[in-house]
Amino acid sequence: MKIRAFDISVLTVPLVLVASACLAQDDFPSRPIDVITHASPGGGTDATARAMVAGAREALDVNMAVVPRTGGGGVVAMNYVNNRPRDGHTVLAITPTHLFAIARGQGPLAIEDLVAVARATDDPLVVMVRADSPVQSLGDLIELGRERSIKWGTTQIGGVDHVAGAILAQVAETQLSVVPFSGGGEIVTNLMGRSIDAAGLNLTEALDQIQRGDFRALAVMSENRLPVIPDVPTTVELGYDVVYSTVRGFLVLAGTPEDRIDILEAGMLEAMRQEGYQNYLAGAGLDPSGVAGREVWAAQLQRLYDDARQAMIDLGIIDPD
Amino acid sequence: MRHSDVSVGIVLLALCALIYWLTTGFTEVPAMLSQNVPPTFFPRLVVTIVAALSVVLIVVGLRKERVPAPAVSPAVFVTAGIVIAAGLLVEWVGTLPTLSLIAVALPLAWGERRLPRIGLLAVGLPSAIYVIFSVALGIRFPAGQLFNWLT
Amino acid sequence: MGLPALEYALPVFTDPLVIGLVILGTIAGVVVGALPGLSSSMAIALLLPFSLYLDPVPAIALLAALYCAGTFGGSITAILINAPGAPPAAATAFDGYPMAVKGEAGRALGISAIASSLGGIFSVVVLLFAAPFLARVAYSFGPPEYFALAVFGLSMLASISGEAPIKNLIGGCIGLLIATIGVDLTTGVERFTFSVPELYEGIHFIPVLIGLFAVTELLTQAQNLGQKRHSIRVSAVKLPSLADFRRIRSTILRSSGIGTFIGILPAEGGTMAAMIGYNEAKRWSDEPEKFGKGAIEGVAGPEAANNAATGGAMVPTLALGIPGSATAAVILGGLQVQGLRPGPYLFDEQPALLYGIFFAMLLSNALFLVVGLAGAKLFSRISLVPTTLLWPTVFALCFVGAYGLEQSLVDVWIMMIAGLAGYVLKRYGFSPAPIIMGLVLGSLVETSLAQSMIIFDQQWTGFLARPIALVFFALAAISILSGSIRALLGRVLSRSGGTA
Repeated sequence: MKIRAFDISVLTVPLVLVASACLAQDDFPSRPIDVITHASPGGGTDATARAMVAGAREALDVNMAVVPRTGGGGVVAMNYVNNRPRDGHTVLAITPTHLFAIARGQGPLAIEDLVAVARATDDPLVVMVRADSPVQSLGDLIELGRERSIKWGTTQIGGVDHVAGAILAQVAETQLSVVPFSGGGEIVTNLMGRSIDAAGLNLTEALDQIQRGDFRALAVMSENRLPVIPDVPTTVELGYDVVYSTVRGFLVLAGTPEDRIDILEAGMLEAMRQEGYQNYLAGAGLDPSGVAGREVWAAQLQRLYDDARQAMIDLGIIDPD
Repeated sequence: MRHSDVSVGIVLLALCALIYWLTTGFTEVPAMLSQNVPPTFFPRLVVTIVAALSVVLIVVGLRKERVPAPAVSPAVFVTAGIVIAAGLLVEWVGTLPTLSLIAVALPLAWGERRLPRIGLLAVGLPSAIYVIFSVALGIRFPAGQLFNWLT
Repeated sequence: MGLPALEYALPVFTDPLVIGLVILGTIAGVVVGALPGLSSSMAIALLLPFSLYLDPVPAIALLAALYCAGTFGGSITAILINAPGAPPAAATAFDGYPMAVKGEAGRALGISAIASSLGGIFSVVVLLFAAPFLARVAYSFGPPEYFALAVFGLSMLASISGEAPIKNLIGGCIGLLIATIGVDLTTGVERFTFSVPELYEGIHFIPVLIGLFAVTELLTQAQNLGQKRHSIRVSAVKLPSLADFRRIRSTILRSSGIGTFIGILPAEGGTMAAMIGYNEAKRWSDEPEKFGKGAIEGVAGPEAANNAATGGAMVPTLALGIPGSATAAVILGGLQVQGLRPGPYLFDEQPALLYGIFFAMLLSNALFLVVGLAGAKLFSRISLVPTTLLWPTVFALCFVGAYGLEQSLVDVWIMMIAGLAGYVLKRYGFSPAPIIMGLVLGSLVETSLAQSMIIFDQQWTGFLARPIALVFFALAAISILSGSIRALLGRVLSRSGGTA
């Protein structure tokens, strides 16, 4: 009897699991969805996540909350998500910062653990100087760096704009001193105030200054020119294959059921096509083409990671092994 | 040891030594940033200043008469114990039950004997916090390991 | 910018929805500000998704009202229970709580309300008329200028609270050391993090503040259990008497100027404004020895300054799109969610919005004076709650407040450790004020120095070419020397008086 009871329980456990999975399939999402960010309230990622959540609440017909887990360049957020069930009710908002952290071996996740759901914004870096600077073009800037080191404003050591500047300097054989600040706004003020020579800023952070003629955009670190500043060449055009962008998107961890990812993707894309989110993009000066589905986002995620890792190796921050 | 400042100074000196020793364990700066102000510079500068000030504190303290401070009341130790226990408990039983336990333990430790009042606080406090913070402001409180096991 | 164009202003000023939301925001702001750990920036961030359902003008009016009232609200709990409801109110507790212990809580609350209100209104008027011009000031502040400003702030350490200058300096250094925890901004090296990822980005100021004030006070209350209790009685809260107002009038004016200026500097918010406002009030006082024991200027100084910083912080936020404080950063996010991009064009393109913000802040600053005075009777009920029930409640609020900031239990531990350490330090004659000061200025002084050195190619002489920085260095030197000269003079005088 004892043995039989044991057998039955062994048999029923997977059955129950399957049954509950089926059940959950029917009514996913069955409880509130948490969107985990690594940013404090007010930052770009936080604002993006909140703008998406505002629409997705209706699209997915479920309560959603933005849950900040700040710290460690995304490591705290990744730790938190890693400890949650992979059932689609926990979504991670991700930026290149996380990928750099993963590339450096920080945190519990590997690139294989990340499953793309939807991309929210694509915000390329633009190399810029003050408008009254004698530097007229990217070539001039590179020349300047050969005479004396360029003072390059950046938001974070090991962050995307630091790596972008360092790789550009390496490819163009010029010298660059990185001056770290704690945010894009500070870089804008310091560029205006002549404390630094140049910076790689997100378009959102300095579009006004460019349009008003305070800053001169030298190059877009992207493959294609930007519709808002069509006259500015890309780094690729100029012969430097240095492509960096602050991409923000949402993902879940490997092991989440496929059909749930599809539901999430559909809901998020619907939310991000609504007026509210589009207004947010327009207000931030972002291109609507930043919103993209799973496939595009997954391919980009992998490419971003490979680039980040290669850049870290080139800069001697990590060892290739 | 003529004055309590002398022992304070000695404790501070020991702390300075400990912190200085910790700064020797910082990882190395990547080569491309090595011309920057090293990360050890500022902590070591401050520690050195504290050490110098501690020596002054000791020297001045030696010349002063000792003024006995009133003894720490046992209630302080009990209260500190409850504070630490709350921090340890919250991981296991979750935030709201911990708050409820605080609402029972602290008044009892402080000599409150009117049980209806304590009971009211033990129920009312977590409920009010739940309504304001969780329902109205959408803050999630960790449920605690115990809860995770039970479900 | 020209004078207010009435055609844009009038519809906004008479819109019942805007007025209603400002009243709502003000009341909510006072409550949120008063609760330790519930900051106005958090409340605004949580309100953002809901503000999407409103038009831009009412939405921003609501957020701006919350911001102004929240800054005032912090002073209520700072005065009544020595637990500042928000960081900018920390300096208010230095003299506000001693006043409450002396039975003058009503007087302190009245002074806080009037000083906050006048400081706030001053800065809003500055915001309206001089925003585009003043925003340019922010551009002349690079890392060397910030370093000099921070050094000026640190020069006040020795004098900030009374009797033991050596212990004050040590306390300030402890604050500076706490600020070095986390990843070093300029080299990316981890310091004192002990592999706890939550510490990578440094220790948050708010849990330390809550611990150092509220938890330390909890333990102090435990020590005093057996003794006779000073019950804090708020008999009647009213506007300051004419004599009181005469005494604080120049302090309010000075602090309003300081607060507006500090607020305009990007990222330097109300906390630093309040600290400097407190210190200048003390420095200019005829009786600096009364500070820390319940001087009314010690309440008016920081309160006028931190509310003046709200209008100041909105200057770069609106005119440049660069947030002037943490809360202003969230409001900036709110503008972006509404599809607006702050910047010099905003004033030309959206005059109604500018007047909406101006009106909301003005109305809110006037309203919280009413709410503060009327509500103070309600707040004073706090003192009727027996100690044995009040303090568990305060501790629970601290616990939730520290957790709610980033929803992290690590912050709860930081709060508790800060509280226990604060009690030990207090017992041995260290006051919390210099520690807070060091913590506020710590990362600023270090990173601005490191940034300056990179900009100057590691040549110290680079500072000589920065006139604004030199002015602040000179002020710092005067601040240090004037203290010791005064002490020396006092000693000589008292000695000669003693022999005579």
